[in-house]
Amino acid sequence: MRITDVKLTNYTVFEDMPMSFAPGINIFIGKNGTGKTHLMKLLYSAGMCANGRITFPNKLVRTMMPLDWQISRLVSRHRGNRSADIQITAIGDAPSAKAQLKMNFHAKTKKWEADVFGVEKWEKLFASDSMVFIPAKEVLSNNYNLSAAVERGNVRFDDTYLDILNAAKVDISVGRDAKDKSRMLKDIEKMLGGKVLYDANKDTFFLRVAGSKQEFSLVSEGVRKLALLWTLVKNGAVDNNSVLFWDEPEANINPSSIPIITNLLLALQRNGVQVFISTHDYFLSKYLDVNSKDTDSVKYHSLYYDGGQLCCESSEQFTLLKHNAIMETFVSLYRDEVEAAF
Amino acid sequence: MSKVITESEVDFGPFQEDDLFHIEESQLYQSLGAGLKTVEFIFLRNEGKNIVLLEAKKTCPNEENKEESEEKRIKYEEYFADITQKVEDSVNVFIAAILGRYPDKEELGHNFYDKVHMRFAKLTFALVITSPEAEEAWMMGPKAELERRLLRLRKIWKLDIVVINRTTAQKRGLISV
Repeated sequence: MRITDVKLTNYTVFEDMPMSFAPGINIFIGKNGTGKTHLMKLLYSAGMCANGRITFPNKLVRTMMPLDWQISRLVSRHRGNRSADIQITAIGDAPSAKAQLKMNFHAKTKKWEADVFGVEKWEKLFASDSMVFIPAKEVLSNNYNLSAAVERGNVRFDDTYLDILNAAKVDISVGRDAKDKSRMLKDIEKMLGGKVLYDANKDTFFLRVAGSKQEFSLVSEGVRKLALLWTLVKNGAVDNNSVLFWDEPEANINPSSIPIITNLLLALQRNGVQVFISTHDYFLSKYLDVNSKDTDSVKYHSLYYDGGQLCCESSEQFTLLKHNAIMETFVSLYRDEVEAAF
Repeated sequence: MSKVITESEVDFGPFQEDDLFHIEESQLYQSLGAGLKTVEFIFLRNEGKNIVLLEAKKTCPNEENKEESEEKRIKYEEYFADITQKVEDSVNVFIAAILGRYPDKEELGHNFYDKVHMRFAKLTFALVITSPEAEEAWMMGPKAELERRLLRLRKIWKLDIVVINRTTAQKRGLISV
Protein backbone atom coordinates (compact mmCIF):
# COMPACT_ATOMS: atom_id res chain seq x y z
CA MET A 1 0.00 0.00 0.00
CA ARG A 2 1.09 3.57 -0.70
CA ILE A 3 -1.08 6.32 0.71
CA THR A 4 -1.04 9.01 -1.97
CA ASP A 5 -3.48 11.70 -0.88
CA VAL A 6 -5.73 12.85 1.90
CA LYS A 7 -8.44 15.48 1.92
CA LEU A 8 -9.76 16.60 5.29
CA THR A 9 -12.68 18.85 6.06
CA ASN A 10 -13.47 19.77 9.64
CA TYR A 11 -11.46 16.92 11.17
CA THR A 12 -10.02 18.08 14.53
CA VAL A 13 -7.77 21.08 13.69
CA PHE A 14 -8.00 20.50 9.92
CA GLU A 15 -10.76 22.71 8.55
CA ASP A 16 -9.85 22.32 4.88
CA MET A 17 -6.69 20.41 4.12
CA PRO A 18 -5.67 18.53 0.98
CA MET A 19 -2.26 16.85 1.08
CA SER A 20 -0.28 14.67 -1.33
CA PHE A 21 2.30 12.23 -0.02
CA ALA A 22 5.53 10.78 -1.28
CA PRO A 23 5.72 7.01 -1.80
CA GLY A 24 8.79 6.99 0.45
CA ILE A 25 9.37 9.05 3.61
CA ASN A 26 6.94 11.78 4.66
CA ILE A 27 8.04 14.06 7.47
CA PHE A 28 5.52 16.22 9.32
CA ILE A 29 6.92 19.23 11.12
CA GLY A 30 5.13 22.00 12.93
CA LYS A 31 4.54 23.49 16.35
CA ASN A 32 2.54 21.65 18.98
CA GLY A 33 -1.16 21.72 18.19
CA THR A 34 -0.81 21.63 14.42
CA GLY A 35 -2.34 18.16 14.16
CA LYS A 36 0.67 16.02 13.22
CA THR A 37 -0.26 13.08 15.43
CA HIS A 38 -3.99 13.41 14.64
CA LEU A 39 -3.16 13.08 10.98
CA MET A 40 -0.86 10.10 11.44
CA LYS A 41 -3.42 8.27 13.61
CA LEU A 42 -6.10 8.92 10.99
CA LEU A 43 -3.98 7.45 8.18
CA TYR A 44 -2.97 4.54 10.39
CA SER A 45 -6.60 3.78 11.25
CA ALA A 46 -7.53 3.82 7.58
CA GLY A 47 -4.74 1.37 6.80
CA MET A 48 -5.62 -0.92 9.71
CA CYS A 49 -9.26 -1.29 8.70
CA ALA A 50 -8.23 -2.82 5.37
CA ASN A 51 -7.96 -6.25 7.01
CA GLY A 52 -11.72 -6.18 7.65
CA ARG A 53 -11.44 -6.99 11.37
CA ILE A 54 -12.43 -3.49 12.46
CA THR A 55 -14.18 -0.59 10.79
CA PHE A 56 -12.46 2.69 9.99
CA PRO A 57 -14.47 4.82 12.45
CA ASN A 58 -14.16 2.22 15.21
CA LYS A 59 -10.40 2.08 14.77
CA LEU A 60 -10.20 5.85 14.69
CA VAL A 61 -11.93 6.31 18.03
CA ARG A 62 -9.78 3.57 19.54
CA THR A 63 -6.61 5.43 18.50
CA MET A 64 -7.84 8.96 19.18
CA MET A 65 -9.83 8.11 22.36
CA PRO A 66 -12.39 10.92 22.30
CA LEU A 67 -14.60 11.14 25.35
CA ASP A 68 -17.11 8.26 25.53
CA TRP A 69 -15.72 7.02 22.18
CA GLN A 70 -17.80 9.66 20.43
CA ILE A 71 -16.47 10.24 16.93
CA SER A 72 -18.55 13.43 16.88
CA ARG A 73 -15.93 14.98 19.19
CA LEU A 74 -13.43 14.80 16.32
CA VAL A 75 -15.41 17.35 14.30
CA SER A 76 -13.58 20.68 14.25
CA ARG A 77 -14.72 22.87 17.12
CA HIS A 78 -15.68 25.97 15.21
CA ARG A 79 -19.01 27.73 15.08
CA GLY A 80 -21.08 26.52 12.16
CA ASN A 81 -18.88 23.47 11.40
CA ARG A 82 -21.10 20.48 11.94
CA SER A 83 -19.77 17.82 9.58
CA ALA A 84 -16.38 16.21 9.01
CA ASP A 85 -15.31 14.68 5.69
CA ILE A 86 -12.31 12.45 5.19
CA GLN A 87 -11.00 11.09 1.90
CA ILE A 88 -7.90 8.93 1.74
CA THR A 89 -6.48 7.60 -1.51
CA ALA A 90 -4.01 4.75 -1.77
CA ILE A 91 -2.46 2.65 -4.48
CA GLY A 92 -1.07 -0.86 -4.69
CA ASP A 93 1.58 -2.40 -6.92
CA ALA A 94 -0.60 -3.07 -9.96
CA PRO A 95 -1.35 -0.10 -12.26
CA SER A 96 -5.10 -0.40 -11.66
CA ALA A 97 -4.73 -0.87 -7.91
CA LYS A 98 -6.13 2.40 -6.63
CA ALA A 99 -8.83 2.91 -4.03
CA GLN A 100 -10.34 5.73 -2.08
CA LEU A 101 -11.77 5.44 1.40
CA LYS A 102 -14.23 8.10 2.51
CA MET A 103 -15.79 8.82 5.84
CA ASN A 104 -18.34 11.37 6.96
CA PHE A 105 -19.58 12.16 10.44
CA HIS A 106 -21.08 15.12 12.21
CA ALA A 107 -21.61 16.62 15.62
CA LYS A 108 -24.65 14.43 16.28
CA THR A 109 -23.18 11.13 15.10
CA LYS A 110 -23.59 8.52 17.85
CA LYS A 111 -20.50 6.64 19.08
CA TRP A 112 -18.54 5.62 15.93
CA GLU A 113 -21.50 5.26 13.58
CA ALA A 114 -19.93 7.32 10.81
CA ASP A 115 -20.78 6.77 7.15
CA VAL A 116 -17.95 5.04 5.28
CA PHE A 117 -17.62 4.52 1.54
CA GLY A 118 -15.23 2.55 -0.64
CA VAL A 119 -14.62 -0.18 1.94
CA GLU A 120 -14.99 -3.15 -0.39
CA LYS A 121 -12.30 -2.12 -2.88
CA TRP A 122 -10.09 -0.85 -0.04
CA GLU A 123 -10.18 -4.21 1.72
CA LYS A 124 -9.75 -6.12 -1.54
CA LEU A 125 -6.58 -4.22 -2.44
CA PHE A 126 -4.89 -3.72 0.92
CA ALA A 127 -6.05 -6.48 3.27
CA SER A 128 -2.64 -8.13 3.46
CA ASP A 129 -0.56 -4.95 3.84
CA SER A 130 0.90 -4.33 7.26
CA MET A 131 0.54 -1.09 9.21
CA VAL A 132 2.82 -0.24 12.13
CA PHE A 133 2.52 2.79 14.41
CA ILE A 134 5.38 3.45 16.85
CA PRO A 135 4.10 5.88 19.50
CA ALA A 136 6.29 8.61 20.97
CA LYS A 137 6.35 6.93 24.37
CA GLU A 138 8.16 3.61 24.63
CA VAL A 139 5.83 0.83 25.77
CA LEU A 140 7.58 -2.56 25.55
CA SER A 141 8.82 -2.31 29.12
CA ASN A 142 5.25 -1.92 30.36
CA ASN A 143 4.05 -4.83 28.29
CA TYR A 144 3.29 -7.29 31.05
CA ASN A 145 -0.45 -7.92 31.11
CA LEU A 146 -1.12 -4.52 29.54
CA SER A 147 -3.65 -5.75 26.98
CA ALA A 148 -5.67 -7.55 29.65
CA ALA A 149 -5.57 -4.51 31.91
CA VAL A 150 -6.86 -2.32 29.09
CA GLU A 151 -9.64 -4.79 28.28
CA ARG A 152 -10.74 -4.79 31.93
CA GLY A 153 -10.72 -1.00 31.93
CA ASN A 154 -8.02 -0.81 34.64
CA VAL A 155 -5.87 1.44 32.53
CA ARG A 156 -6.34 3.45 29.34
CA PHE A 157 -4.02 3.22 26.39
CA ASP A 158 -5.01 3.96 22.84
CA ASP A 159 -4.76 1.25 20.20
CA THR A 160 -1.42 2.46 18.88
CA TYR A 161 0.19 1.20 22.09
CA LEU A 162 -1.66 -2.13 22.12
CA ASP A 163 -1.09 -2.73 18.42
CA ILE A 164 2.64 -2.12 18.63
CA LEU A 165 2.93 -4.61 21.47
CA ASN A 166 1.12 -7.23 19.40
CA ALA A 167 3.30 -6.45 16.39
CA ALA A 168 6.43 -6.84 18.51
CA LYS A 169 5.28 -10.20 19.89
CA VAL A 170 4.93 -11.81 16.47
CA ASP A 171 7.33 -14.74 16.29
CA ILE A 172 10.75 -13.72 15.15
CA SER A 173 11.33 -15.28 11.75
CA VAL A 174 13.78 -18.15 11.69
CA GLY A 175 16.19 -18.81 8.88
CA ARG A 176 18.52 -16.52 7.02
CA ASP A 177 17.58 -12.90 6.61
CA ALA A 178 17.72 -11.23 3.23
CA LYS A 179 20.86 -9.16 2.63
CA ASP A 180 19.24 -5.72 3.09
CA LYS A 181 17.34 -6.84 6.17
CA SER A 182 20.50 -8.38 7.61
CA ARG A 183 22.40 -5.14 7.12
CA MET A 184 19.67 -3.09 8.81
CA LEU A 185 19.51 -5.50 11.72
CA LYS A 186 23.30 -5.36 12.17
CA ASP A 187 23.20 -1.56 12.26
CA ILE A 188 20.55 -1.58 14.96
CA GLU A 189 22.35 -4.32 16.91
CA LYS A 190 25.47 -2.16 16.95
CA MET A 191 23.52 0.65 18.57
CA LEU A 192 21.71 -1.72 20.91
CA GLY A 193 24.68 -3.77 21.88
CA GLY A 194 22.55 -6.90 21.58
CA LYS A 195 19.35 -8.55 20.30
CA VAL A 196 15.77 -8.61 21.52
CA LEU A 197 14.17 -11.62 23.07
CA TYR A 198 10.48 -12.02 23.89
CA ASP A 199 9.74 -14.50 26.64
CA ALA A 200 6.15 -15.59 25.94
CA ASN A 201 5.89 -17.43 29.27
CA LYS A 202 6.70 -14.31 31.20
CA ASP A 203 5.08 -11.98 28.63
CA THR A 204 8.19 -9.82 28.94
CA PHE A 205 10.80 -8.42 26.60
CA PHE A 206 14.52 -8.76 27.25
CA LEU A 207 17.69 -7.49 25.67
CA ARG A 208 20.22 -10.25 25.17
CA VAL A 209 23.70 -8.83 25.67
CA ALA A 210 26.81 -11.02 25.73
CA GLY A 211 24.87 -14.11 26.74
CA SER A 212 22.89 -12.52 29.55
CA LYS A 213 19.29 -11.28 29.54
CA GLN A 214 18.45 -7.75 30.66
CA GLU A 215 14.84 -6.94 31.34
CA PHE A 216 13.62 -3.88 29.48
CA SER A 217 12.78 -2.01 32.65
CA LEU A 218 16.50 -1.80 33.34
CA VAL A 219 17.64 -0.43 30.00
CA SER A 220 17.29 3.16 28.83
CA GLU A 221 14.19 4.31 27.00
CA GLY A 222 16.22 5.13 23.91
CA VAL A 223 17.61 1.61 23.77
CA ARG A 224 14.12 0.17 24.19
CA LYS A 225 12.93 2.16 21.19
CA LEU A 226 15.75 0.84 19.05
CA ALA A 227 15.00 -2.65 20.34
CA LEU A 228 11.43 -2.25 19.15
CA LEU A 229 12.62 -1.26 15.69
CA TRP A 230 14.92 -4.29 15.59
CA THR A 231 12.03 -6.57 16.49
CA LEU A 232 9.71 -5.12 13.87
CA VAL A 233 12.32 -5.48 11.13
CA LYS A 234 13.32 -8.97 12.27
CA ASN A 235 9.81 -10.37 12.46
CA GLY A 236 8.76 -8.79 9.18
CA ALA A 237 6.12 -6.46 10.63
CA VAL A 238 7.94 -3.68 8.82
CA ASP A 239 8.57 -5.01 5.36
CA ASN A 240 7.94 -4.41 1.69
CA ASN A 241 4.46 -2.92 1.13
CA SER A 242 3.98 -2.03 4.78
CA VAL A 243 3.42 1.49 6.06
CA LEU A 244 5.36 2.66 9.11
CA PHE A 245 4.17 5.55 11.26
CA TRP A 246 6.69 6.80 13.83
CA ASP A 247 5.75 9.60 16.21
CA GLU A 248 8.82 11.65 17.25
CA PRO A 249 11.56 9.08 16.56
CA GLU A 250 14.07 11.42 18.22
CA ALA A 251 12.47 11.23 21.69
CA ASN A 252 14.96 9.78 24.21
CA ILE A 253 17.46 8.92 21.48
CA ASN A 254 21.05 10.12 21.82
CA PRO A 255 21.73 12.69 19.06
CA SER A 256 24.73 10.66 17.90
CA SER A 257 22.31 7.85 16.93
CA ILE A 258 20.17 10.11 14.75
CA PRO A 259 22.28 9.63 11.57
CA ILE A 260 21.89 5.83 11.92
CA ILE A 261 18.13 6.16 12.49
CA THR A 262 17.83 8.29 9.36
CA ASN A 263 19.87 5.80 7.33
CA LEU A 264 17.61 3.01 8.60
CA LEU A 265 14.53 4.94 7.53
CA LEU A 266 16.05 5.53 4.11
CA ALA A 267 16.92 1.83 3.84
CA LEU A 268 13.35 0.87 4.79
CA GLN A 269 12.04 3.23 2.13
CA ARG A 270 14.34 1.68 -0.48
CA ASN A 271 12.94 -1.69 0.51
CA GLY A 272 9.39 -0.66 -0.26
CA VAL A 273 8.18 0.66 3.11
CA GLN A 274 6.20 3.91 3.07
CA VAL A 275 7.11 5.96 6.16
CA PHE A 276 5.33 8.77 7.97
CA ILE A 277 7.09 10.51 10.83
CA SER A 278 6.38 13.55 12.91
CA THR A 279 9.33 15.38 14.39
CA HIS A 280 10.47 18.48 16.24
CA ASP A 281 14.13 17.58 15.72
CA TYR A 282 16.52 19.60 13.56
CA PHE A 283 19.07 16.78 13.28
CA LEU A 284 16.56 14.17 12.16
CA SER A 285 15.06 16.53 9.58
CA LYS A 286 18.41 17.69 8.27
CA TYR A 287 20.07 14.26 8.18
CA LEU A 288 17.21 12.88 6.11
CA ASP A 289 17.81 15.74 3.70
CA VAL A 290 21.59 15.32 3.65
CA ASN A 291 21.73 11.50 3.52
CA SER A 292 19.01 10.93 0.93
CA LYS A 293 20.07 10.18 -2.64
CA ASP A 294 18.44 11.43 -5.83
CA THR A 295 16.64 8.11 -6.19
CA ASP A 296 15.12 8.30 -2.69
CA SER A 297 11.64 9.62 -2.08
CA VAL A 298 11.53 12.14 0.79
CA LYS A 299 8.95 14.87 1.35
CA TYR A 300 8.53 17.39 4.15
CA HIS A 301 5.13 18.71 5.17
CA SER A 302 5.15 21.80 7.34
CA LEU A 303 1.92 22.48 9.22
CA TYR A 304 1.47 26.07 10.37
CA TYR A 305 -1.20 28.57 11.26
CA ASP A 306 -1.78 31.60 9.07
CA GLY A 307 -4.38 34.01 10.36
CA GLY A 308 -6.08 31.28 12.40
CA GLN A 309 -6.22 28.88 9.47
CA LEU A 310 -4.13 25.71 9.50
CA CYS A 311 -2.08 25.44 6.32
CA CYS A 312 0.43 23.02 4.88
CA GLU A 313 3.56 23.67 2.86
CA SER A 314 5.33 20.70 1.27
CA SER A 315 8.82 20.43 -0.14
CA GLU A 316 11.31 17.73 -1.05
CA GLN A 317 14.04 19.68 0.72
CA PHE A 318 14.01 20.70 4.37
CA THR A 319 15.79 24.00 3.80
CA LEU A 320 13.40 25.08 1.04
CA LEU A 321 10.41 25.23 3.38
CA LYS A 322 9.37 28.83 3.89
CA HIS A 323 7.42 27.93 7.04
CA ASN A 324 9.84 25.90 9.10
CA ALA A 325 9.19 25.83 12.83
CA ILE A 326 12.43 23.94 13.49
CA MET A 327 14.64 26.39 11.58
CA GLU A 328 12.77 29.33 13.08
CA THR A 329 13.79 28.16 16.53
CA PHE A 330 17.39 27.72 15.39
CA VAL A 331 17.49 31.20 13.90
CA SER A 332 15.87 32.61 17.03
CA LEU A 333 18.56 30.97 19.17
CA TYR A 334 21.24 32.27 16.82
CA ARG A 335 19.87 35.82 17.12
CA ASP A 336 19.79 35.55 20.91
CA GLU A 337 23.44 34.42 20.86
CA VAL A 338 24.44 37.41 18.70
CA GLU A 339 22.54 39.71 21.05
CA ALA A 340 24.27 38.23 24.09
CA ALA A 341 27.74 38.42 22.50
CA PHE A 342 27.41 42.07 21.55
CA MET B 1 38.05 61.73 15.91
CA SER B 2 36.31 58.90 14.13
CA LYS B 3 37.48 56.44 11.54
CA VAL B 4 35.86 54.30 8.85
CA ILE B 5 37.64 51.08 7.87
CA THR B 6 36.99 49.55 4.48
CA GLU B 7 37.35 45.77 4.28
CA SER B 8 35.91 43.24 1.82
CA GLU B 9 34.15 46.06 -0.04
CA VAL B 10 32.28 47.25 3.03
CA ASP B 11 32.76 50.39 5.15
CA PHE B 12 32.90 49.49 8.82
CA GLY B 13 32.29 52.17 11.39
CA PRO B 14 32.66 54.98 11.99
CA PHE B 15 34.52 54.14 15.17
CA GLN B 16 35.89 56.61 17.67
CA GLU B 17 39.68 56.32 17.48
CA ASP B 18 39.81 56.07 21.25
CA ASP B 19 37.80 52.85 20.98
CA LEU B 20 39.81 51.39 18.11
CA PHE B 21 42.91 49.28 17.55
CA HIS B 22 43.45 48.92 13.79
CA ILE B 23 45.71 45.96 14.41
CA GLU B 24 46.18 44.86 10.80
CA GLU B 25 47.60 48.28 9.83
CA SER B 26 49.52 48.82 13.06
CA GLN B 27 53.30 49.18 13.33
CA LEU B 28 53.06 47.06 16.40
CA TYR B 29 51.81 44.06 14.47
CA GLN B 30 54.02 44.58 11.45
CA SER B 31 57.12 44.89 13.59
CA LEU B 32 56.55 41.38 14.89
CA GLY B 33 57.57 40.03 11.51
CA ALA B 34 56.38 37.22 9.28
CA GLY B 35 54.50 34.16 10.48
CA LEU B 36 51.78 35.95 12.39
CA LYS B 37 48.32 36.72 11.16
CA THR B 38 45.72 39.10 12.50
CA VAL B 39 42.07 40.10 12.27
CA GLU B 40 41.16 43.41 10.60
CA PHE B 41 40.67 45.47 13.76
CA ILE B 42 39.64 45.39 17.40
CA PHE B 43 37.16 47.85 18.87
CA LEU B 44 35.22 48.63 22.01
CA ARG B 45 31.45 48.69 22.40
CA ASN B 46 29.07 49.61 25.21
CA GLU B 47 31.45 51.92 27.06
CA GLY B 48 34.21 49.36 27.11
CA LYS B 49 32.09 46.46 28.32
CA ASN B 50 32.65 44.59 25.04
CA ILE B 51 35.96 44.04 23.26
CA VAL B 52 35.30 42.87 19.70
CA LEU B 53 37.82 41.34 17.32
CA LEU B 54 36.44 41.67 13.79
CA GLU B 55 37.32 39.83 10.61
CA ALA B 56 35.52 40.44 7.34
CA LYS B 57 35.22 37.99 4.47
CA LYS B 58 33.24 38.33 1.27
CA THR B 59 32.03 34.72 1.29
CA CYS B 60 32.19 31.53 3.27
CA PRO B 61 32.61 27.93 1.99
CA ASN B 62 29.67 25.58 2.42
CA GLU B 63 30.30 22.59 4.67
CA GLU B 64 27.63 20.54 2.90
CA ASN B 65 29.59 20.35 -0.32
CA LYS B 66 33.17 20.43 0.97
CA GLU B 67 33.63 16.71 0.26
CA GLU B 68 32.59 17.06 -3.39
CA SER B 69 36.20 17.46 -4.45
CA GLU B 70 39.69 17.56 -3.01
CA GLU B 71 39.92 21.20 -4.06
CA LYS B 72 36.79 22.14 -2.10
CA ARG B 73 37.96 20.23 0.91
CA ILE B 74 41.33 22.03 0.86
CA LYS B 75 39.70 25.43 0.39
CA TYR B 76 37.36 24.79 3.31
CA GLU B 77 40.23 23.74 5.55
CA GLU B 78 42.41 26.68 4.52
CA TYR B 79 39.60 29.18 5.07
CA PHE B 80 38.89 28.13 8.65
CA ALA B 81 42.52 27.42 9.54
CA ASP B 82 43.38 30.95 8.40
CA ILE B 83 40.65 32.55 10.52
CA THR B 84 41.56 30.40 13.52
CA GLN B 85 45.19 31.52 13.39
CA LYS B 86 44.16 35.14 12.95
CA VAL B 87 41.99 35.04 16.06
CA GLU B 88 44.58 33.23 18.17
CA ASP B 89 47.44 35.55 17.14
CA SER B 90 45.27 38.66 17.53
CA VAL B 91 44.24 37.76 21.07
CA ASN B 92 47.88 37.15 21.97
CA VAL B 93 49.08 40.43 20.43
CA PHE B 94 46.24 42.40 21.97
CA ILE B 95 46.76 41.04 25.47
CA ALA B 96 50.53 41.57 25.17
CA ALA B 97 49.91 45.18 24.12
CA ILE B 98 47.51 45.79 27.03
CA LEU B 99 50.09 44.34 29.43
CA GLY B 100 52.65 46.79 28.12
CA ARG B 101 54.92 44.34 26.34
CA TYR B 102 55.53 46.82 23.55
CA PRO B 103 57.05 50.29 24.00
CA ASP B 104 54.53 52.14 21.80
CA LYS B 105 51.06 52.19 23.34
CA GLU B 106 49.59 54.89 21.10
CA GLU B 107 48.15 52.60 18.42
CA LEU B 108 45.59 51.29 20.86
CA GLY B 109 42.82 53.76 21.51
CA HIS B 110 43.05 55.38 24.97
CA ASN B 111 39.81 53.85 26.12
CA PHE B 112 41.42 50.40 26.06
CA TYR B 113 43.43 51.63 29.04
CA ASP B 114 41.06 54.18 30.55
CA LYS B 115 37.63 52.63 30.25
CA VAL B 116 37.99 48.88 29.96
CA HIS B 117 37.81 46.92 33.16
CA MET B 118 39.68 43.90 31.82
CA ARG B 119 38.35 41.57 34.47
CA PHE B 120 34.73 42.11 33.43
CA ALA B 121 34.91 43.05 29.74
CA LYS B 122 33.33 40.52 27.39
CA LEU B 123 35.63 39.31 24.61
CA THR B 124 33.98 38.53 21.26
CA PHE B 125 35.21 37.46 17.86
CA ALA B 126 32.91 38.57 15.04
CA LEU B 127 33.24 37.17 11.53
CA VAL B 128 31.25 39.32 9.11
CA ILE B 129 30.33 37.77 5.76
CA THR B 130 29.87 40.78 3.53
CA SER B 131 28.33 39.26 0.40
CA PRO B 132 24.79 40.70 0.02
CA GLU B 133 23.57 37.18 -0.85
CA ALA B 134 24.71 35.66 2.46
CA GLU B 135 21.61 34.57 4.36
CA GLU B 136 21.24 34.53 8.12
CA ALA B 137 20.58 30.78 8.24
CA TRP B 138 23.97 30.09 6.59
CA MET B 139 25.86 31.70 9.46
CA MET B 140 25.26 28.90 11.94
CA GLY B 141 27.46 26.32 10.24
CA PRO B 142 30.58 28.55 10.19
CA LYS B 143 29.87 29.57 13.78
CA ALA B 144 29.80 25.93 14.87
CA GLU B 145 33.04 25.22 12.95
CA LEU B 146 34.87 28.16 14.53
CA GLU B 147 33.58 27.29 17.99
CA ARG B 148 35.09 23.84 17.56
CA ARG B 149 38.45 25.13 16.32
CA LEU B 150 38.70 27.89 18.91
CA LEU B 151 37.65 25.75 21.86
CA ARG B 152 40.92 26.27 23.79
CA LEU B 153 40.79 30.02 23.38
CA ARG B 154 37.12 30.03 24.34
CA LYS B 155 37.89 28.11 27.51
CA ILE B 156 40.89 30.26 28.47
CA TRP B 157 39.50 33.70 27.63
CA LYS B 158 35.75 33.00 27.68
CA LEU B 159 35.68 34.16 24.10
CA ASP B 160 32.27 34.44 22.37
CA ILE B 161 32.04 33.80 18.66
CA VAL B 162 29.47 35.27 16.30
CA VAL B 163 29.22 34.93 12.55
CA ILE B 164 26.93 37.51 11.00
CA ASN B 165 25.93 38.68 7.56
CA ARG B 166 25.94 42.22 6.22
CA THR B 167 22.34 42.88 7.26
CA THR B 168 22.94 41.89 10.87
CA ALA B 169 26.17 43.89 10.93
CA GLN B 170 24.24 46.94 9.76
CA LYS B 171 21.57 46.40 12.41
CA ARG B 172 24.32 46.17 15.03
CA GLY B 173 25.78 49.47 13.92
CA LEU B 174 29.01 47.95 12.61
CA ILE B 175 28.60 49.11 9.04
CA SER B 176 28.03 52.61 7.71
CA VAL B 177 24.66 52.70 6.03
